[in-house]
Amino acid sequence: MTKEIRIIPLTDMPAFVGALMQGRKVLAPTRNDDGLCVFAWLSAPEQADWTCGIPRVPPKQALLPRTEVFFRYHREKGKETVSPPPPPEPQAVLGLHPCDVQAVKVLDAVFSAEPSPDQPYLERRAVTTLIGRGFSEDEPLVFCRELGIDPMDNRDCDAFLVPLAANRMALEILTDKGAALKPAYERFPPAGAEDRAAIAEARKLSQARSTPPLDMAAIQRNLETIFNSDLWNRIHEPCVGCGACAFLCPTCHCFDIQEETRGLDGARVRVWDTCQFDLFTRHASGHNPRTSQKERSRQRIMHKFSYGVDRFHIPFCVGCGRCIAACPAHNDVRQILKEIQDLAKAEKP
Amino acid sequence: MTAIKQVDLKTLARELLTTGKVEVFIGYQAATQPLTTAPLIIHGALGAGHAQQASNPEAERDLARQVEALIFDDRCEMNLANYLHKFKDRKVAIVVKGCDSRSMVGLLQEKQVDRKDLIIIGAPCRGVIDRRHVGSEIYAACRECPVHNPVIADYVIGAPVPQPDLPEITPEMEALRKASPDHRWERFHKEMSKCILCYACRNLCPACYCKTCFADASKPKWVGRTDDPADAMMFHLQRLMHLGGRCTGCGACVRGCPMQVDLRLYNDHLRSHVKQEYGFMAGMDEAAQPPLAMYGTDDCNEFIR
Repeated sequence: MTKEIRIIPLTDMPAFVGALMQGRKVLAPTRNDDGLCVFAWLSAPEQADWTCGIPRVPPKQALLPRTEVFFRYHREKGKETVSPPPPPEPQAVLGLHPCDVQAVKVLDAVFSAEPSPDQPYLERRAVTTLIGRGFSEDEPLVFCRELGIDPMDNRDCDAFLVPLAANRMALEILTDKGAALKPAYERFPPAGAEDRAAIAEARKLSQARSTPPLDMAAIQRNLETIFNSDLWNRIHEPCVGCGACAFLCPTCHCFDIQEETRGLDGARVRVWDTCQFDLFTRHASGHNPRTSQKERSRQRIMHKFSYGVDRFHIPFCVGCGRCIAACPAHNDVRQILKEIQDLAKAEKP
Repeated sequence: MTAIKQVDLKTLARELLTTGKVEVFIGYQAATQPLTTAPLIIHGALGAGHAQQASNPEAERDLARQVEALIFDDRCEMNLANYLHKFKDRKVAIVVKGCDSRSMVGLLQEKQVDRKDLIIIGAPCRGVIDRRHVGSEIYAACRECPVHNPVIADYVIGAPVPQPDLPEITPEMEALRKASPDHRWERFHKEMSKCILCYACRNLCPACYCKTCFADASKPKWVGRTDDPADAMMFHLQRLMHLGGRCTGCGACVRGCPMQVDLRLYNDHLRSHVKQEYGFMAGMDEAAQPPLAMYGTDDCNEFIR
């Protein structure tokens, strides 16, 4: 059976998004009051903004909310009652750039890993439909091609939007979860042979634009030998040690577990945390194994390009460029990677 | 200010670094995105803890290449005074704009840096281009800047620039002060709702140098880290209180915020209050006593006498 493809004029996107919002929450690129593109939960279909490239805030909040309640409790004399949070509602993430889809794969790998798969994550993931979006032009700062991710690739999506001529989008239905969106897309006409050819052509054009990939194997190999290199001084010295890069990274997933209490009521919550903070590794004794920003900056690169790859066979970076855009010191991970890669070349006998 | 020697930035940097007069030079270089610059931290040939050695031709070439990359223009937005804590007890040369020089004065007053370890290179500045609004204006903090020329420097790298006249209170601030409490609350709530608690504002602020910030205290924990705007409010209000009489209005926190949280009017309000109540402007005079760090037996408040 050929893949189901529907054609949606951009002017009808609000109708499609509105129908998607029936019975599920929808996270999509939208502009906030400052005009900044962010992934946010829609309250009206018109909020989805198709002029956004890579929104500053990534979609990871759909799967790893900034605040996730594990359970709530109430204390009374000699008695505690504990109540679990309500089960997650069905949700769709709309308009994911293929690099953001790859980021979901990273999160999946981490949070489903044995021996301790993460139940809250997996429950949320199970009710999540991923609707990707192809980009026929390369967005500024995005270097996903250098990491082998094609901006028109629909893999790992449940459905995928491909931009077409004459202000239209093609919606490819790729999985059963995608097919379950039928009530939202069935009003739109199926793609004819001409549009199918145009989609294939757009993919071919995108592949032809591929840039030379970074040598990820060399980067990983070399990272193993430069733990004490002077390079880390150059990387950490301009870094101010804030969490902008990590919080806005679609793959960074480190968290803290805290108690939020008010009177006799409380909740145990999971909140975002980052290896860039001193508190992240500070022990109860006061000892901190990562004493300075040097160790913390190194950890960020090591985790993304060495440890993560070792354990899960997938880099913890997808080339979205958000950290480059967000860094107040304008550190650029592309430069850091090139430098590490070229060190590898220089040090080869 | 008596006449301070006007010099060429690169020539001076080369001299200071190669003769060992400083170990570290903190300046600016072009960054990879349009209209952006990044700090350039150069270690001299005699600097300790780094691979560069004297009489190593490769290290010398590297040093020359780095010095050549130094720039100063209207894209240099970071307040480099913020980096001094990374190089405590080292001989450091640093490039400062007018606003940054006030941070330097603040750090000297609070004994965070030692004047004899510092060579301060003043950079007269007409304002930094607002890279978020290409067109392109200068940042609001720069439009309202009362100190375009550094207040403290050993060398300067340009001729003094004219200082525009400024209103005592900007129309924007006047409007906010006159607004109803409901309106102000709504505005504050909206700004705080954007905050993701990455602490870029704090980490970019030269006056925020506490080794353990209250926000990082865990025994007890003062500030939560949830997405409830109350947590961001607590953090920012406490930070504001700590900056009373210390904030110089350099705007580093606003420029560096990845979520465009606009702290400017709150900082401005704080500064104008301090000016009104104590006649004090932070970071103008090293010998002055910061009002919130001093005590007088003639204090007008009975409770403290």
